[in-house]
Amino acid sequence: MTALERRLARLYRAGTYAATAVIAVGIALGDSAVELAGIALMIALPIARVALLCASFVRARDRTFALLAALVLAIVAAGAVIGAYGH
Amino acid sequence: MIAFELFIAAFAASTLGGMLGMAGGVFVVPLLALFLGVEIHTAIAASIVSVIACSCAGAAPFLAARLTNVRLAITLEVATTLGALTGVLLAGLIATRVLFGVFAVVLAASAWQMGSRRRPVAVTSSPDAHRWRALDGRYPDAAGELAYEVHRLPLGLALMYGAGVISALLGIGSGVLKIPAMDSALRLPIKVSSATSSFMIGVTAAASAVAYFARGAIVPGVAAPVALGSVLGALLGAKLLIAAPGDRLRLLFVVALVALCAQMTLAAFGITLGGGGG
Repeated sequence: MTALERRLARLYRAGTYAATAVIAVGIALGDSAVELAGIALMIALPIARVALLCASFVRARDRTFALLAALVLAIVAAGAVIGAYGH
Repeated sequence: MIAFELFIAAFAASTLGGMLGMAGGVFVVPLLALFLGVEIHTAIAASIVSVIACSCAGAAPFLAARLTNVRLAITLEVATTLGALTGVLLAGLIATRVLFGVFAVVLAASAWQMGSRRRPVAVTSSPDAHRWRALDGRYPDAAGELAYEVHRLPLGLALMYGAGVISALLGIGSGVLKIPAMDSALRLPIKVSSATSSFMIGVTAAASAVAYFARGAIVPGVAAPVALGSVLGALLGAKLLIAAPGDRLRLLFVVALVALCAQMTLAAFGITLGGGGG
C-alpha cells in the first residue's frame, strides 16, 4: 500500500466511525440537529477524499489529474448551489 | 417505533448487499417506500446517504488490497458526478409513478445481471487502439503482479454518466450500470473494476446528497436510522462475504429482486399490496 492509499484508508475508517457515532448520539438524544450533523459528516467524507487526492496530485505536479479532481469538487459544489437555489 | 423499523430495514438491506459486495440502496428504497410507508422522495434521499455509508465502510479493505485504480476513478467521477447533477434536476420533474416504473426496470436489470455470471474479459493488448496509458495500472494476483490496460474510455465515460443519473434519481449506488461499463467498455479485470466502482460510488452519491441536503430533502428522522443500520449492515455483510456459499446466495438475491420488481411495477400502476401502503 502506498502512503496515499494508507492515508485514504485511514480517512475513511476514522471518518466512518466518527459520523456513525454522531448519528447514533443524535438518535439516542432524539435531537434532529445532531442527526443532521452526523449525516453531513458522512456526506463530507467522499468529498474530503477527492480533496486529499487533488492535493496529492498537485504535490506530484501531475497537472491532468489535479485538474480532474478539482473539476469533480467544482461539480459537487454546483450540486449544493442547485439544491439550495433550484426549484 | 418507526425509527427502529427503519434501522432494521437498512441493516438487513446492507447486510445482504455487503455479502455480494454492493451497497444496499436497491433494497432500501423499495423497503422504505413500499412497506414502511415512507414517501418515495424521502426514501430516495435517505437511501443516498445509506449508499455513502456503505461505500465508506467498505473502501478501506479494497484500498489495502491495492485493487483500486485511483486515477481511473477520478477520471470517471467527472462523468458520474455530472450525471448525478442531471439526476437531481430530473428528480424534481418526474412524477412519482414514473419513478416507481424506472425503479422497477432497474430492479429487473439487477436481477438479470445477478443471474448471469460476470465473466472475466479476455485481456488483449492492441497498441493501436490503446491511447489511455496514464490510466493503466497493475494489481496483485495469485500469479504475481499483473498489468492491465484501459480501453474505450469515451464509451466508459458515457455509461458512467448514465450510472450517475440513475444513482441520483433512484438513491442507489447503481452498480448495475457501472459494472457493464467497467467490464465491457473499459475491459478491466473484475477485481479492479469492483474495487474502483465501489470507490467511486461514494463521490457520485455525495454529489446528489449535497444537493438533496441543501434542498432540505433529507429528513433526519428517516435518514439517521437508515444510515446507522447501513454502516452496521455493510460491516457485517463484508465479514459474511468471505464465508457465504456463492450460488445459493445469488439465487436468493435474484428472487428478492424479482419480488420487489413486481411490487414496484404494481406501485407504478397505482396498486399497493404492502403493509404500509405508500
